Amino acid sequence: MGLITAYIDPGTGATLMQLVLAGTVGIAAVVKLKWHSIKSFFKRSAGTSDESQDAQAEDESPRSEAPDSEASPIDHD
Amino acid sequence: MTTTEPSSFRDQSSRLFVAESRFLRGFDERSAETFLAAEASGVVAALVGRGKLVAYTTVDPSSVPEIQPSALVICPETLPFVSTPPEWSFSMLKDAALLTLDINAELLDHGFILKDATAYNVTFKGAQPIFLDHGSVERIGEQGIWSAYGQFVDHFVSPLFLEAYAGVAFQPRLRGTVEGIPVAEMNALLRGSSRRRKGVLTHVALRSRLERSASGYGAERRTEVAATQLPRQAVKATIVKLRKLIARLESPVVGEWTDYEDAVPYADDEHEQKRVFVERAARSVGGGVLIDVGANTGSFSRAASGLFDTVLAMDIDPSAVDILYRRLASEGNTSITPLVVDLLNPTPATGWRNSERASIFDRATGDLGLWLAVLHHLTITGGIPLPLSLDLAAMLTRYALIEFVLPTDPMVELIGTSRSSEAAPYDLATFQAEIEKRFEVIEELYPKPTRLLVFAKSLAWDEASARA
Repeated sequence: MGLITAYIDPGTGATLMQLVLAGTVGIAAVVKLKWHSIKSFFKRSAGTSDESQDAQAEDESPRSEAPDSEASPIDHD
Repeated sequence: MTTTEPSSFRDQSSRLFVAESRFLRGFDERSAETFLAAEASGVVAALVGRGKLVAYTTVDPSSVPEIQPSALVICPETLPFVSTPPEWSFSMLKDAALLTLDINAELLDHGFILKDATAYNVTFKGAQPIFLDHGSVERIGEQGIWSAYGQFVDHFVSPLFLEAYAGVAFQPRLRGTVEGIPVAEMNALLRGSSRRRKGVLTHVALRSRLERSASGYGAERRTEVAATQLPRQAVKATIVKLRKLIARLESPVVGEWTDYEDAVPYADDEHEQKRVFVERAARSVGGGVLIDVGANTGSFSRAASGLFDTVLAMDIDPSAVDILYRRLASEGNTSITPLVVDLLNPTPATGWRNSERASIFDRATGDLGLWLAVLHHLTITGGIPLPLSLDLAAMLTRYALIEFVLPTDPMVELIGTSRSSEAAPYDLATFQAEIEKRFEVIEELYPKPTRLLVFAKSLAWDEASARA
C-alpha cells in the first residue's frame, strides 16, 4: 500500500470531497461556474453514486451523460 | 539567543522563534497583510477575548532584527505547558475539533479561513482548548474552498471515529504519527457495522475512493480541480455539518481505573491524614507547576490546584482522564490540564529528525511531583526497577511527594508480589536507600502501616540547575 499511496495527491481528492459535501447548493453553483470540469468529473466517478446517502451531489449529476457502461477508474470494495 | 521553533518550518510565511524566554512570530509581507486585515475586521480580538486564540502583543520588528520574515512580528503569550494530541482524552480531542471548526466558521463570516487544520494547532489552558497558530489565518473571497478539510479529517474526525465507532483508543496511534490517521488506513480499519455509522460513508469511504481515483489524474485535471471554488456559504455549510457530526460522537471505551476512587484503600481518617500531608507539602513548595503523575480522576490534583498556577494531572487511563476533563471543562477550569500519559511509553519526539514534535519530558517540568500509589505499578507490573522510577521523579520536578505502598499492602498483594523479581526488587529498604541517593527528605508519614508518604527535595534538580 505504501508505494501506491505515495503517489496519491490528497489535495485533489479532498477538494472533490468538499464538492460532494457542499450538497445541492454548492454543486449547483459550481455546475454553473465550471460545467465542463464538473461534467468530466461525474463521468468518471458516476459509479460511486450508490455509496453515500449524504452525497446529494450525486443526484444532481447529469446521469444521462455518464453511462453506466463507461469504465470507472474507481475500484470497488 | 534566538532559535527557530522546530515545528514551524512547514509555513515559511509566518515562522515561530524562541527568543530568550518568549516566543516571537515573524510574518512575511503577504501573510502580515492578511493578519492585519483580520485584526481590523475585529474577529481576531473577539477570538482572543473569548479565550479561543492565544493572546499576543505586537513587537517592533527593528527591536528584533534576528526575526525573519519581519513584515509583522508578534509575541504570543507563553503557555506553562503545551499538551499535544496523543496526550488528550476523547472529549479533549473532540473539543479541540469543535474549537477548530468554530474558529473557522467565525473567520469565514469575516472573509477569512484556516489554511491548515493540524490538531497540533490546538492545546489546552487548564481544561479549555485554545488555538495556537496565528499564522493559519488566510483570506477567502466570495468563492473558495477549505483546503485543510482533508487534514482536519485525518487529525480529528478519523481518530474520533476510531474510538467512537470501533472502540479503539486513538492515543497510541497518534503517538506514532504527526499527520493523524491517513484516510486509506482509516478505510481499512473501519469494517462491518461501523461502516454504517454516521459520517463514515462520506468522510472515510467516499473520500478514500475519491483520493484513489484522483491519484490517476493528470497534471491538467489536477490543476482544474484545484481551481474549483465553492460559494463561501457552501464552505460554511460543510463546517456546520461537520460540527454537528462531531458534537454527537461519544466514546464507548471504559477503563479499568475509573472506579478506583470508590475502591480507594484508605479509611476516612487515613485519607484525611494523607490529604493534609499533601496539602502541607504543596503549600511549602508554593506556586509554579504541579505534576500529578497518577492523577486518576484527580482528587489530589484538585485539592492542590489552588496552590499552583498550573496542574498537569496525568494518568495512563484515557477514560479516567476523560471523566476529570469533562468535570473541569464544565466548571470552566483554566489551571488543571488532564493528560493521558503512559509512563511506560510516554509521548515520544516525532516528525522530522525527531524534533518537529517534542517528547513529553522535553515539555513537562515542574515544581512538585505527586507520585501517589504509582511506584508499585511501575515496578511490579511494568518491571521498572525502583532506582529508575526514582531517577525520573528526581529529574521531573524540583520537589517530589512519593507514596510507597509496602509489599504487605492488600493493593500490592492484589497485583501480585510474586511478580516482584530479583531484577526489580520491591521492598521498603530498597526504596529508602534509593530515596536517600536522590533526595533530601523533608518529611515522612505513615497514614497507615502499609503506606509511607515521603516529601523530598531533588538533589539531581539542584545539580542540574547549578550546571545551567
